[in-house]
Amino acid sequence: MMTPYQILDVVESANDTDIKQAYLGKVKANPPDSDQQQFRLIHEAYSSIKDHKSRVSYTLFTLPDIDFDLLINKALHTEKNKPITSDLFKQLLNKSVDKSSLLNELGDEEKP
Amino acid sequence: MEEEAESITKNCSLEQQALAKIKSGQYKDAIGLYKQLIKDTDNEPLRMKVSEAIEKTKAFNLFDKYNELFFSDREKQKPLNNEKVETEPSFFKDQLIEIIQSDNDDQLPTLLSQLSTLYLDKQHSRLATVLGLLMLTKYSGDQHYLSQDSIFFQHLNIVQIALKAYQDNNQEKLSEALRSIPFRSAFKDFRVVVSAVLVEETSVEKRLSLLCSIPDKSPYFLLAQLLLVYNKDGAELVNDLFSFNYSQQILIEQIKDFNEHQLEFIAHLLRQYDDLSEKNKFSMAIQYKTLFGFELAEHYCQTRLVNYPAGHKDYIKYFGEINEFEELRIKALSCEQDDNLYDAEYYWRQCIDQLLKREEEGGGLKVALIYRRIADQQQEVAVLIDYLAKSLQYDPDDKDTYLKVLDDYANKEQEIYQRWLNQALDRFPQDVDFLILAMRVANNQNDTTQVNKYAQRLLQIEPQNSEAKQTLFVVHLSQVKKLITEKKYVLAEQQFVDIEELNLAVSYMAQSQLIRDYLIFIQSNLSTGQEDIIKTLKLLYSDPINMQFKASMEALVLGLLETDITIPIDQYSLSSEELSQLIEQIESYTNEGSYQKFLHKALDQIKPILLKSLQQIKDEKLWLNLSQQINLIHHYDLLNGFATLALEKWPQPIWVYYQVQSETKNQAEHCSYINLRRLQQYLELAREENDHRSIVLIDDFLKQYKLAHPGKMTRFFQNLFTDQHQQSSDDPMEQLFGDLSDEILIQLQEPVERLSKQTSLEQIAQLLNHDDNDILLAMMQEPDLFNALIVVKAAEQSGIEINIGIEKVLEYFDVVSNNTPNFL
Repeated sequence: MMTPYQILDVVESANDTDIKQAYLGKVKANPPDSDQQQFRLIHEAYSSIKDHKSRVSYTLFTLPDIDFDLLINKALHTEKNKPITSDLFKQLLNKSVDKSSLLNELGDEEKP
Repeated sequence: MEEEAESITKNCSLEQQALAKIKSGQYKDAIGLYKQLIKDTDNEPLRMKVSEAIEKTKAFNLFDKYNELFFSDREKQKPLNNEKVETEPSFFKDQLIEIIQSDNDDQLPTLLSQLSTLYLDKQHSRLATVLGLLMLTKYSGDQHYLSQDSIFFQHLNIVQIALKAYQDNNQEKLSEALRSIPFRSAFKDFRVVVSAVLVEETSVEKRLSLLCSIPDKSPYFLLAQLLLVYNKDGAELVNDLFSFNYSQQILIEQIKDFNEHQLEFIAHLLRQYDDLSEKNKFSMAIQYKTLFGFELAEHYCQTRLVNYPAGHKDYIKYFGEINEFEELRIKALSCEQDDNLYDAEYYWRQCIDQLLKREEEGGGLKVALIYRRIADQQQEVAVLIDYLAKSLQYDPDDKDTYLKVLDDYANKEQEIYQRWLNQALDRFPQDVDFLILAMRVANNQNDTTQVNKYAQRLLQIEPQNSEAKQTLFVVHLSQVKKLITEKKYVLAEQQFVDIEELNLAVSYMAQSQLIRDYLIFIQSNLSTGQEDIIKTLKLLYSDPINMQFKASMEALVLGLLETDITIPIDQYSLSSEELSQLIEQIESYTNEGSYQKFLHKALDQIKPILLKSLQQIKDEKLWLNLSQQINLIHHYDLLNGFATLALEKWPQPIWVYYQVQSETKNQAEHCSYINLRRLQQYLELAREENDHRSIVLIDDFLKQYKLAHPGKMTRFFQNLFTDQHQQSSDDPMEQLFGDLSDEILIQLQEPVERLSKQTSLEQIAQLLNHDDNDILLAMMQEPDLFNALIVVKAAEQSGIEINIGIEKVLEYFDVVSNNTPNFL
């Protein structure tokens, strides 16, 4: 689930002005008549972090959304995959030859 | 018949010739003869023989030619259901299975050389597909054993060209090669996979879509899955790694370029993936904290302590002191998530203690926010307000909290409300919201000085504040009227100046002008100015009835007579809109209070024309609104008129209520038994129709009656018209009239109701020709005597024989009759 900071695309240390600017930008890009749900999401995000008090309140009353997958994501994050070269493709092709699946494939043929 | 016989003879001869050709090895000729035969007779044994000939012909590489000669396109795609053909492929397939199982490639050349073109291209496409993958990977050096003229072989060549182009990074040649592989090829899935790989990096969705289109039965499915997982990241990647074997996992990890620490973590994770308990995850978070980031790992472990309290020791060991506040906060929020508000409040209070102990910057705001959080979860308003008050100790400038208390919680407790309002005004003396609230309170309390004070302050801050202007207008106008009645005309003039300075809309100024016109009228001893008053009234209202009502009301308020200003209103009929205006006028004067007497007089002025007009109004809602206002000012005479007229249109409970209410002048104890009975009946009807307003009003009325007549309520008619067995044996009505048949009782109901409504106790006494007050007193003490006499008189007037006379009734109630009643 996205945090209000992520929805508005601002850093957590952003001040009132930055947040308001980001909010107005998002509203401009997502006017209420084009996507009401998205607009509501943006508006709610803004309401929850628009000033110092609301930001303290948000931090205070938000249950940390940290599950183990988040740790795994952090640990195994790769910025960008390498392009799949022909050598890489050949390696994958060779490794994909699996005796049991081939036998299954041939065995299945007998079934009607 | 002759023709058919001739055809059979001819075909038999052709078949014999074809057999002879096969025996002599002349397969080509045999196929020619069979072709002719199939044209005439397409039967199964014949097809078998053709297949046999073809199998033998293929040795001479004549298949393609003869396939073309022999079969139409449809026939080419139709497998030949030939026992011999079926047996041989099964042998090939078994051989291939054996080779794969044993990893013994020695038999492969023999197998490949034995596989016919027909078999590769037409019969067993799945085997061809498997073989295709093997020829690309494991047996890439053995393709020369394959039948060179097979389509399979041609496609294998194309695939190899494609792979070479891929290696040479020759995109154009690669695309061209891929395009050359047709849909019905053993390499069609290979083409899809390579196409997916070639999709732009930015079109990940397209790539994934292509890879996902490979069916799970395809030998290329695993390759597609490997490529899919290669595109994944983090937890998704780990989840998918499970479906691959060890060497495939290793390859993915290598391609992903994971470092040693990451690989160790993956290996650990894969080992424990089936048992990822809170404990295991907690331990791994500590063990790989450098990989996760110290802060994230610490945060994770802190969060998990709620569910894994055994981790405290390790947490302290690896992350140091536990942040008690954070732990309590998470516990409170977890409790809230489980709807356990009781424990949540406990933890929040602990959080407050922690914050107060720590005395950190910004702690006060957190305390205030937590108090407000706790307040939101309270059921009792007093407790809730108490928590909000506490929150203001730490965040005193939170305007929302004051407004919340004033708007939502304290609005029913005048003392608490005033206290909070005063506090708010002390804290925010220039705040428009609080000044408006203060002005309203002062206005409700008729404290004109305070209203003036707050309204003026509001107008200093917001010169165009309409509520302040309107409130001031009402105050000034009321002051003007008071000054006029006190004959302080100069001071009154000053008030008009103040009103003008408010610069309000025309309708307000017309109201002010009207009072000014009256002032001139009064100052001229009612000799001049009447025309000006009427002229101004025309600015306010378009109809003479509203004008007359306004003129009468203002005249009365200013100490004149309601008849001092008269407007011709005969023959005028109010529209619905004009009636609404009149209702608004009545409501407005009612709200000003102390004008009830004036309202009666002003309404009496327009009563006949109002009743006449009302008959043209078809909107019952307007009737009800008007009756409600008239009831509020206790003008029962007018209300009775409305109710009686309304009942002719709408015989509904509410109108019966208003009729009884007006007849009794809101004195439930004076309600006649007949009306009581009507109300009871209509109460039932109101309940059936879910008419809640009538239910409440009638029920309340009946309760008042019950209080005034304990134990006697409704006995008469209840008993008279209810089942015999339900009646009380000592009830006088039961004893006197209990023997009457139901038919007579029903006949009596209407005349009894009518007479009861029309006849008073005094009238009955007079009818009995009693000189003294004995009988009157007896009736006042015993309502059943009156009821019984009414029944007797109603029976007599209606000619219903009941065999009970006045004497018997008087005797029963032990009343001595001096004279025979004159109506008997």
